[in-house]
Amino acid sequence: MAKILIADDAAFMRMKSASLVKELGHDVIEAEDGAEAVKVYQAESPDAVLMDITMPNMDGMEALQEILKLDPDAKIAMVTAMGQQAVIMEAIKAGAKDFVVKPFDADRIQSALWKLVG
Amino acid sequence: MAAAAEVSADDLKVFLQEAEGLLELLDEDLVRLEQESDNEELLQEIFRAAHTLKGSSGMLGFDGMAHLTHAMEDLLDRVRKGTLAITPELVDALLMSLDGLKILKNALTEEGEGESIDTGPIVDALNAAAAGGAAPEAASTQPALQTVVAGDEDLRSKIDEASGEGHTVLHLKVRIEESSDWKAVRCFQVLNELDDCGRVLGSVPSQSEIEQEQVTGLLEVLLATDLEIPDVQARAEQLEEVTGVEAAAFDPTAVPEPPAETEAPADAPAAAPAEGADQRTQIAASAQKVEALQTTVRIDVEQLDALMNMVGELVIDRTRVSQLSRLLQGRFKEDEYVGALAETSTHIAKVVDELHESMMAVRMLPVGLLFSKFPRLVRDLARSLDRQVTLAVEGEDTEIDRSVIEKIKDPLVHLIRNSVDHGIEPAEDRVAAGKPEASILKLTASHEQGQIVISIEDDGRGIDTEKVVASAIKKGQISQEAAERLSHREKLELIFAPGLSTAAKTTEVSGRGVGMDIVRRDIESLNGRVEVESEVGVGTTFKLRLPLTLATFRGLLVSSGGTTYAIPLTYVQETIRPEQEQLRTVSGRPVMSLRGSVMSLIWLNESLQLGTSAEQARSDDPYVVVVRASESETDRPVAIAVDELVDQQEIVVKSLSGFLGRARGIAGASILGDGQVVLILDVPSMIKASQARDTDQPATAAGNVVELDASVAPRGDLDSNEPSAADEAPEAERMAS
Repeated sequence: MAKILIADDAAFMRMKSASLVKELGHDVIEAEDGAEAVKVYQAESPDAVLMDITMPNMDGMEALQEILKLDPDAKIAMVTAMGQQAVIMEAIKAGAKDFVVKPFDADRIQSALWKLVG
Repeated sequence: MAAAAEVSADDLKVFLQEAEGLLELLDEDLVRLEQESDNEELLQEIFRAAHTLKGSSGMLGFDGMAHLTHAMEDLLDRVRKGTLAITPELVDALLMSLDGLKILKNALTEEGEGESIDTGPIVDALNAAAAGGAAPEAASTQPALQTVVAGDEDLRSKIDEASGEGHTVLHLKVRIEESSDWKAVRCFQVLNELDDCGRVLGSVPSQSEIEQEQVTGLLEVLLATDLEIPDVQARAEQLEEVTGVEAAAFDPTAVPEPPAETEAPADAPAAAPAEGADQRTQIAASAQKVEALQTTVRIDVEQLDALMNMVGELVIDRTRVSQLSRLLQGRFKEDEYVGALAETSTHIAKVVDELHESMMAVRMLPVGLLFSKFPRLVRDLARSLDRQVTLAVEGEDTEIDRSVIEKIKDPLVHLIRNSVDHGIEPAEDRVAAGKPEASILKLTASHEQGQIVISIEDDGRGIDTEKVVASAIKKGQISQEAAERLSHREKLELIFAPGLSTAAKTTEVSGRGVGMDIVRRDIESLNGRVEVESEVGVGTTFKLRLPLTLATFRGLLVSSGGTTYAIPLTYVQETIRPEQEQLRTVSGRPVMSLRGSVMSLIWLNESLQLGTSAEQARSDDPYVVVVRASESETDRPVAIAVDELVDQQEIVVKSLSGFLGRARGIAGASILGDGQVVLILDVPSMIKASQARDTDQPATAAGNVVELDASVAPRGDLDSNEPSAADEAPEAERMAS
């Protein structure tokens, strides 16, 4: 069992991912925007992060970079909608470990998390 | 199937067996040939293999294969005569032919699903090799990466530098799922991942091309690394949508001269170079698929059953070992060996459980195997009966124990026949009733709470319960008065009575003496149930509820009169220890009252007629197991009184030898861990027997659960029915046996 941070500004997406992740037997903590994600990461040091890209205050790309500054080993998977290939490549270049495309299913989340936290 | 129609199954089988052997031989020999180019015996063997294949495939009319082996034979003949040298290109061509042959052979088997290839390009390649020309195929199949290396001095110096530093330079071909919307990202991830394994020297497409999303399904990478090939492959393969990773040490000598200096190959065969390369990749990929198919193993069903039986024994022993270990732990708490034994026994239990589960999974087959026979059946039926029927099948992937699949075939065929013959109306009747001309027969399989549910749903005329009742009365299966008290559901259930037919006329298709009672009996012998729902003018649905497996079940162990019985937990609603006053006799029948209801009570010993008198059989202080055949309203709970509740555990079903096989109320036997034999109760038949006693007695019939209200079941009414109880007894026995 691992502690997973879900950062997404959309409450519904947060709820949905959270319930999927919980079903897989993990603990979930949540953040509503990039800035909060960084703060929560610092306070709770989760085992992995599912990071939405488009968020207010601080977007997912920036939050990714901030978190990696705090913890170069942070395991972060980007959550993205279709058609954001370029952004994802940026994110992977910046140190994201994986990505999950919305709308995602349980299997995809599971395999992503499995790779991140074992 | 590409097989010519006149090839008999036996011929094909023999041919395939032989071909498989020869292809395996070629697989080994062709590779050896490259190293042992002067081994004449080897060459002879290869020639013979090709020759044999040519002969038999030609005889059976497998033209592609014959054509290909003929070209191989020609080439090999020239090698044999010494007019042709064995070159890597020649071996390439031969190996490519072998791949082609594998695909063709596989296309002849069931699994191959007729996948075939065009042998033309392979034959061209063989001919080109035989012509001893510049081997144009070899040049044309040079992968893009090598061309890039040839034209990129910078890259070549990087390769040299990396080798100079003692790193291995690998040439990787990574395939990305063709359907992926994220090919560019995937390629990017692969590059990233590989860069972690060492240093990516270059790639096709290049990183900047990838970033501009100029990608295909193939990424070739030059990687300088110190890792082993399998490790590198594993790193790339674990990425999503990466479908394959080939890796080999980069061969600098394979780099062709820079393109400008390439001489046009003299007599290149018709295929354009690019096309040839494409074809070749395709053939290689298909051949790989064929190899993958061969990793499945066919096992004799008997062997599988024998294995299952042994696993069953293990499950029994596991339980016993755990019991003994617990016992020892209680007795010798401090002993370290006992502790170690307990640990080991826990581990064994875990492994045995997993083994058991895997064994179960191995026995599972998709129900589609059975369903696939029905479109033809429905079509033929519909034609002969002049109906228009569309069969819609759902849930073919649902997996069922193979022994169950075998046993539900006949019942299903019967139900489908019934639907098409009696359920579905002729087109003109349907139109008159405002329905579409073509009816839809829906066959669905699904999982539902640990059971398999198969339903057959038609939109036909439905079952007219009044006709059913009339027929049952006419056949003397039920009295007029009793019939009047039946609910809609109970009337429907009458179709399962033996010998009852509602069809106004018997037809060629139905009415062959196999009735719904047989369907029900077959299904119940599998511990399953048949349910029916129907509405006149709307349609009829039959639902078969089946256990996932027949081999084991969770059972409640009870003891009565010194014997231990197992009751499948699926039937058990609750167990209680009743107060004396809950157990009563109403009009000569034992009943139990529970929370305001009254239900039939079966004293287990009496019911099985184990030779004990009623007085001995009835414990003063019994436990009661409340069982119910299903959740359906018509299946009312029945109480079974036993002496003791023993345990709950996994029961492994053993088949009964003949003399016990027909014992009333007993479905089978099992052995417990301590070697004790237990009898498995046949709950549905016990319930049926108890209900049958009441069938013609309205008050108690309705009163397997009678409201505990004297006004509803007046004493006099019950008494007046007493005489007929005796009449019904033989019926009860018959139904239970």
